[in-house]
Amino acid sequence: MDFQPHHVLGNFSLLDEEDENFDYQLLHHNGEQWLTFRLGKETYGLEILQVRELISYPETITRVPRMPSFLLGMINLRGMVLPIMDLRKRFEMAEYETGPFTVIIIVQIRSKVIGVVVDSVVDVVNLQQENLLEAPEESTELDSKFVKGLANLRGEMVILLDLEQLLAPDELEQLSMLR
Amino acid sequence: MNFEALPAEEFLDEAQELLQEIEDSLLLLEEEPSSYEVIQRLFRSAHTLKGGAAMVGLIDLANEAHEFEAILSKLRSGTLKSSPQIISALLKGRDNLLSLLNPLMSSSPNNSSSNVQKKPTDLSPDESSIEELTPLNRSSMPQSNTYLIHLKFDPACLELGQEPMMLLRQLEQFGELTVIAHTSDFPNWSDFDPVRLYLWWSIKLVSNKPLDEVDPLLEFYRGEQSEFLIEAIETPEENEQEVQQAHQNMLAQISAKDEKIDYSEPSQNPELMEVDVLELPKTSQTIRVPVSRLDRLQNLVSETVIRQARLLRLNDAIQATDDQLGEQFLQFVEDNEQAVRELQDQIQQVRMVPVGTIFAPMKRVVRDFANRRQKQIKLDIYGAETELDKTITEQIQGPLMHLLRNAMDHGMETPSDRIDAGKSPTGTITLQASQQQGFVIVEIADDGRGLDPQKILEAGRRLGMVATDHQPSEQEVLQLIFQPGFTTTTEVTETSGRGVGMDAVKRDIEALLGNIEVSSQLGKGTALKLKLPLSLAIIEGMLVRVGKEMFVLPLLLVTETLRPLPNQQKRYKNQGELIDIRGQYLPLVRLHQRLKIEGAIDKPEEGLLIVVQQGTQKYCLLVDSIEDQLPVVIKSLEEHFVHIPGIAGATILGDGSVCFILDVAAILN
Repeated sequence: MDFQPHHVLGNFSLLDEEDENFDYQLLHHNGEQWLTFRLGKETYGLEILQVRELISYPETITRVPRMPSFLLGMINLRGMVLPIMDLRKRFEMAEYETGPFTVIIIVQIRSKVIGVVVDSVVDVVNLQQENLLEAPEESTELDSKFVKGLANLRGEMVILLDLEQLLAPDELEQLSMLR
Repeated sequence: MNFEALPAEEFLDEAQELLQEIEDSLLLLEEEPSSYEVIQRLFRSAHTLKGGAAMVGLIDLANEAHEFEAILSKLRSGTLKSSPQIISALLKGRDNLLSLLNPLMSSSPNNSSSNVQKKPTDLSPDESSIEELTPLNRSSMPQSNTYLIHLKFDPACLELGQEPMMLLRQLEQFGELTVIAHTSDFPNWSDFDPVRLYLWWSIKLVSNKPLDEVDPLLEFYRGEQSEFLIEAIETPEENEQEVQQAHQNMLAQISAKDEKIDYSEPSQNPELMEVDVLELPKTSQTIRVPVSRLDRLQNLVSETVIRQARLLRLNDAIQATDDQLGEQFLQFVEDNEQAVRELQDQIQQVRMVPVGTIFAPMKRVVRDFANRRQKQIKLDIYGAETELDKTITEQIQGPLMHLLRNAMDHGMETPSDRIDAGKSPTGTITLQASQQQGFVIVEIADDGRGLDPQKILEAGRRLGMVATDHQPSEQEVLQLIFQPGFTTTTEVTETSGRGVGMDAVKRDIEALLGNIEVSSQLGKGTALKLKLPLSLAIIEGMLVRVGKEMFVLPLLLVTETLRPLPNQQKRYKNQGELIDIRGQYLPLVRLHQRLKIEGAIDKPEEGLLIVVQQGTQKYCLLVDSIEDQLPVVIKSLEEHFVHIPGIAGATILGDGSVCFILDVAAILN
């Protein structure tokens, strides 16, 4: 069975309950798997296909001079020099001390690989069409360009993020113009 | 095997090189019109190109190369005399060949063939111009020749990727073939090796091609272990018996030769050996490797260099816990260090190419430009054999070409102006490369009119680049030419003056962590000096500390380091702080201010000053301390992020942390 690798990142809590009726083919083809994580009080979701790996918060992050604070700095991940972004700072949320659950999610956006710091990782879930919600304009304080949609996961709201926006041209321009 | 498939990449590479060789040789021929050797070289290059093109199925290219070769063959036989017009026509022909090749270089395999099909229409005008120049037309040689050909390939040729059938098919295109395949070498079936060639052939070819067209085809397939013989039979009428007789003679000759040659003791038959040596093409001592594979290798070596640094770190910890074990470990680390250094040197060596590869096309550019613009310009090249990393070499080609055009267009006067100025009517541009202390210097100098500081200053003031109350030094004035948007002329010529200028050149050179300097003397000429690192992957760096943060400065830019005395510090209005170094006043730049780092040393006499070269100007950078001097592996930030102003790249230190390599030019601007 070739979807085996998907299990590695976590267990499908939804699937466990509905295992018998579950259509593996459908899962595999519509790629509707999401990694959920927590930032502050809210739960966010990232498309699993963008996630490369999870690492713990490293000992040293080298600060980049003259950069806005949401760019925490760069790390060495097995020889790759990767930028690390603090999503709390980027989304202008209250700052938070790093703790034992603080995790860096390494995501791949097109050919670029970056890391984002989150409070903790929750789960890997499968979202069906019926889980998706119409996104009301002011459902979250988050800059709407990062929000791809909302989902209802057993009564809890998940904000589905579009991290591609983190590396959008105007966003990057902002970085390279700073002096 | 499918030979109609897309052209092998190797062929495209080779063809490009051959065309460059052809161009070089043509230009050389212009200087030495009677050099048989050059003609011979030209012929060989064209011939190899033709053979290669035919082999990979680029029939149009092969045909065009054939036409080209036909003219060369006339030059060789003396029926055509070399003249500037002929050279020009041949250069055009060479460009045509290149234009047939170019669409294949980048296009996908699917549309490459259609591109080639389209081309011949573009070619027709040139073909006709070549035809005009050939007093003897190809078609005016209708008489047929009969050749006897004996082909005995290297038995291992199939393993080496040769395809004897290709040669037979190509011979077939020359005329009528009668082929006898000899099976006498076949072993017992038990000894039969399917990848060895046991067959050999005797062929009678009736063709209207002259011997010097048929023979080179064989030459193309000739290998060290092969025996090819070709003999022309004079009588065009087919006298079967005579032909048979000649055939027998030839076979006898071959078998006699077999007996006579004792390969183990070549000196026994000097005459025969001499002939053999002449027939053998030089066996290649080189192999072609895709650059991507070298890049991969370079990356692995870079990783090893980083790990070595980590091992050294680890050693300190081990020493501290267990003396004896530490001693052993240190020994191991030091041995390993040597091997890693050697490995690094070797991979660097492998990636090196002579800068001459990019100098060569410039001869042509100069020739064409001078002809078009009625200027007399000579290009002198020195140090073409100086080696530089392949990527750097490629990346300085554009900037160098730009500098060359500037020199020809702006620097060089017309012959009459030169005579008026008391100079020789022919201007000289010198392109010179040399290696100095682990860097490569490439200098391009002309003996033209030189830069006029007065004019530059006026333009600088007009463009608002120099404040009206500021009286800059001559060096500062010359630096203005590197400012974006700087121009003294309002006229735009074909080759330069479009506004993308020296600032782009400077940026390109600095992106390679190099440096560019200008010097000029009014009326005498201008020189631009590029200083480049040997490699883009690993550079020598100086590790400095600013506050709590560490940075790498490229050692190439560092001229000296010092801790100044308080009385060396001066302050002038409008000029900020200066440091007096042996009578030279250099601007002081506090790195912590530029980088916005808190908690760093602010007083120059408490920290250290690193004197760096930036263009022709020197600056003093204030840092807290120098931590180390080491080879650093450059990692691009753009690969996973964006270019960050002031940072040239990153590296990984021995403790595994990331450290930034400063882009000194950007920080100073």
